[in-house]
Amino acid sequence: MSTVSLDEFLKPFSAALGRDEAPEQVESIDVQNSVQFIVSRAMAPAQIEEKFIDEVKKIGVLVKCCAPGQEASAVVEEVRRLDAANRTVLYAADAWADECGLPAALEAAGLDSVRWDASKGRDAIQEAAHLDVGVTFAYGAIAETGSVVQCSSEASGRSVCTIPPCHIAVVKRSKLFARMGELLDDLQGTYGADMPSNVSVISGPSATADIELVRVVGVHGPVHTAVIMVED
Amino acid sequence: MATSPVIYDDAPLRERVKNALADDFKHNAIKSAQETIVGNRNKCADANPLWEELRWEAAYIRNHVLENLDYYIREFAKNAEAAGATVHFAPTAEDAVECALDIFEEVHATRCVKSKSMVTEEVGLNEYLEKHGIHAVETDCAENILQTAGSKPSHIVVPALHFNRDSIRDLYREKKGYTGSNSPEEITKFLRSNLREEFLSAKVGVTGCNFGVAETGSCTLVTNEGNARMATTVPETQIVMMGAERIVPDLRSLDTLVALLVPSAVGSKITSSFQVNTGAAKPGEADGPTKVHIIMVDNGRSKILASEFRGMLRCIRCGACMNNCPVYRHITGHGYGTIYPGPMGVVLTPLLEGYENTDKLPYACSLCGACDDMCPVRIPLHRHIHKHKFNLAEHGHTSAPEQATFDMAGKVLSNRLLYDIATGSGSRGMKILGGAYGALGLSTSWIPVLRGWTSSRDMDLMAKERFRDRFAKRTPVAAELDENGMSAADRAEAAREKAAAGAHASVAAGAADAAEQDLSQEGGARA
Repeated sequence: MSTVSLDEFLKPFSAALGRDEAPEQVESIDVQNSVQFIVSRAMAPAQIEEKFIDEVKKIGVLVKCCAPGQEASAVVEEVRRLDAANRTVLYAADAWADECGLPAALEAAGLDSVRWDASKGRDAIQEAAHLDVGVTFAYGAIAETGSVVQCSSEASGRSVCTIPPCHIAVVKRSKLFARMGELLDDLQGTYGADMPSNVSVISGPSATADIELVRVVGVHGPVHTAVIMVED
Repeated sequence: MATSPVIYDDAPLRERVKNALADDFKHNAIKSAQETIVGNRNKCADANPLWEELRWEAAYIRNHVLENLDYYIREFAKNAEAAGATVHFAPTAEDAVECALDIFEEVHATRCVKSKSMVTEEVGLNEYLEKHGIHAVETDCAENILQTAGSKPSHIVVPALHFNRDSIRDLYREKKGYTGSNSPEEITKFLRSNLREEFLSAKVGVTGCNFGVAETGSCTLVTNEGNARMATTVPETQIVMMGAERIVPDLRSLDTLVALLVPSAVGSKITSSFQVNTGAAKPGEADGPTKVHIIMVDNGRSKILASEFRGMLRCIRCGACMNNCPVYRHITGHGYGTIYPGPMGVVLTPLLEGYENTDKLPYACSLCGACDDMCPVRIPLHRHIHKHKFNLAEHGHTSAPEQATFDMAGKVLSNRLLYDIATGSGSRGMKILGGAYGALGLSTSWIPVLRGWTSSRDMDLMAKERFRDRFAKRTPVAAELDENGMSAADRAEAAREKAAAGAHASVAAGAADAAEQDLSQEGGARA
């Protein structure tokens, strides 16, 4: 290895700052009152929801609101909008999936489905590559950018919302935030120092404009995305 | 200039510029990209009433990190390790690529999938790995085009703008067996299926890092195509390479920086995917990397931190400066010949590569300051470039003819006799050279030194008569005198004296004002 120890690495940086070594403490940064929050705090809950619906539509995401307990049928309805040949479902093994009766609803609708099973190890990834729709239960949503936020876990692998060409995210109205800053605050409150290994802020289908700046939707990530918001 | 991972074209600046100017497709592509991206960026900025304040906040955050960079590097590394990542420290570019190679050898991998990363380009990772039998597949659409064509970036964010759809179609037909049309949709679809196999069989994923979060030890990625998501989902080993300065203190600061980065880079509020990756996959998770190696790279950054260019380390690589740059608009990324083009590249490249290796790069700037207006972290780019120009002259990096010209100009301008001769004969000389054209144009570009200007611009002729000759011959216009024989100027002066002598101040001041008004009218009438 041609790398050096942390202490060795830090020396020229400390020297550049006119000291022998990195201090134990520094004055903490003052971003508690970031200007970002001024606008978002002024938004009423109804405005936040309206903004979310607007923004989600703008970035080409199908959005549907439903009453609590209706999310499984809303997911089934979304899946049935797809071509009959491309309707195999991979869903996250989230407790929420069972609570809302998603497995039964998919079966009743005659849709082939696979439950994310982390005990299969890396084979679970390869399996995901043969399925059409990933269904996940999101941590929350962000109004300003029309995003859903997905945390990885044993029950809900990264593959579910990344590999199949279609992604449907179910999210609770109570976890809708005006801006990313508020969601990150909430996330930190939930997880503390033990952050999920991956937090993905997903805003619409994957896209590129690399060829002559022409926007093309659907590159390596999902091509179609939908959000189901449960009005809890 | 000498080539390096950063400098890919060592032709003289003049030659690079000439080539870029001759390629109409290329500079028109850059022009329309500038208009589109800046237009959308401005819409985002205008929609946010606190945009300018946000820029101050971002500059404050980045400055705070730089002023405490040793502390924050340690915090970040400590927390990343606590979360399960392994952090390596590479003082130089060579150390960084050797460290990466060691990791490949450890896991016996000969291929990897890679998402777009500037610091890996800066240290020359792909070439180094290739030399050691390891192929890094660029999975970003534009980077893949460049890699397949063996071409170099013309923009930092959308680097393949110099290829039109026909040439991209032909490229993939020839190299990858593509059989479709020139439609961007169809080519993109092809890339999706072509690269999917690479992703699904990849053992190692290589990414950069937009921001490291010190508080949590997280590495974040801002991407649109989903390739970085794939590269951090499938492979068991992830290598993250990051510039040691790319740290924010906490998630709140991250929020501010991302809110500025995306609009500044691509003109939208957010990209389709923004990931915060903390440590390795947790026990029991079936995907995500089980081993995460973070390589922190110094490669000259600590030197910049110690220099008068410290502010440049605030840079978040958004490309907004080049999107607003009139020089970049014409000479394109290829005019700069470096992986960091535009104003940020003009500042950064000499700092990384040294003045002796960067030719006249700082001269690819008119010091107009349009870049500063766009910079989300308010780097005074044009001042830094001005400082480079100053340093070049100070340290004798200017060319012999240029030095001779300025030596001569110095002698002439500081010597009365020489100045009289030069200005007296200059006009006649120029008139002869200018001929019927009435200015020094292209026809004079055979003259050394002069050609630097006249090969691309006209130079106006000097006036036949010098100002001071004309001034000496002027007919003075008599100032209007009052009944005491005093001009307005005299009256103003007298009133002031009176005020100073202790007369009633307001009266005197009023008199002086009135007299001054006369004076300005007098001046106006004369003009």
